[in-house]
Amino acid sequence: MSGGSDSEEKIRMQLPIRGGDFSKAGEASSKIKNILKQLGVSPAVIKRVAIACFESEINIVAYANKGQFSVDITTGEIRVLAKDEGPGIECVEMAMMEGFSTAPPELREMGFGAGMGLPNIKKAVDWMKIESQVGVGTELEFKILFGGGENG
Amino acid sequence: MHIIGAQLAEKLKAEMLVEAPGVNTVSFDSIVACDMMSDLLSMMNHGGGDSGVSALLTGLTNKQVVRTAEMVDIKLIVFANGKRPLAETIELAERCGISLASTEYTMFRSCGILFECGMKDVGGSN
Ligand SMILES: Nc1ncnc2c1ncn2[C@@H]1O[C@H](COP(=O)(O)OP(=O)(O)OP(=O)(O)O)[C@@H](O)[C@H]1O
Ligand SMILES: [Mg+2]
Repeated sequence: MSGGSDSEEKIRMQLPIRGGDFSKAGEASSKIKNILKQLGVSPAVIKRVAIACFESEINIVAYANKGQFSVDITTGEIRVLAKDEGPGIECVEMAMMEGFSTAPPELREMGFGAGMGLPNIKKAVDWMKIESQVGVGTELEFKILFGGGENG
Repeated sequence: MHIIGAQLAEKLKAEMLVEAPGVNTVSFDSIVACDMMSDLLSMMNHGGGDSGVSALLTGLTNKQVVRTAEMVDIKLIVFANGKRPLAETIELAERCGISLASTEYTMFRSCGILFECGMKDVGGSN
């Protein structure tokens, strides 16, 4: 169709995340943040995306063997599927509570393990879903609307 | 109260270790003090956004501090208790355009001084 609108233009990316490698932890989130900046998304929305991505990336690095972000950006929203292969979460409900953490001392020394990561993600996003299977891995999916959204 | 990076460092008698371009042109109006990265992100998420620029006071010196700061646009990190950042922390800060400083003052004293001179909490309350 000639002259069709490109308002549904999409950016799709896969960003691999290595478990245990704290030297690179945060790089995938940083990349996403920079793309949104280039797209002219508002700083307040970018901050929420960065917080959700970063917390989820750190969890993969901290707890899983490996994982990846599958990112979908349209003119109206960003969707991130953070999928990992790892130990999984025994009780998601408990993991979602503020202060719940199984982080070992090494992690705490780096400033992680407050048990605030998942609650932070929940506060930052417009929608999220988390599914986990013990011994297999965890899938966390979230969406943030660029138009301000309910948390905007 | 808005002050540039050099003034903030001076109030804490802090030594500037990384002086990113712009640290003396942006004006800081709020301070966040913490040692847990998720606490930092949580406070920055309450901040309601893009009013002013915040500086971070912390005792953590590893490079994850810089990464976390980068996520929420913190432009200056001050290490309290005379702590010194690791070499990899300095390197990442230079790459991210984030300034680093180190003060001999404790966290408590540093916060007190900055509060006295009118700096706000993130999110705006004083
Ligand atoms: N991808 C994951 N795989 C396995 N376990 C996870 C994963 N993500 C979170 N968890 C579990 O859920 C708990 C809570 O996670 P959350 O991110 O809220 O806090 P934390 O990582 O312990 O600390 P913080 O995020 O504040 O640094 C973790 O301690 C861990 O037991
Ligand atoms: Mg976490």
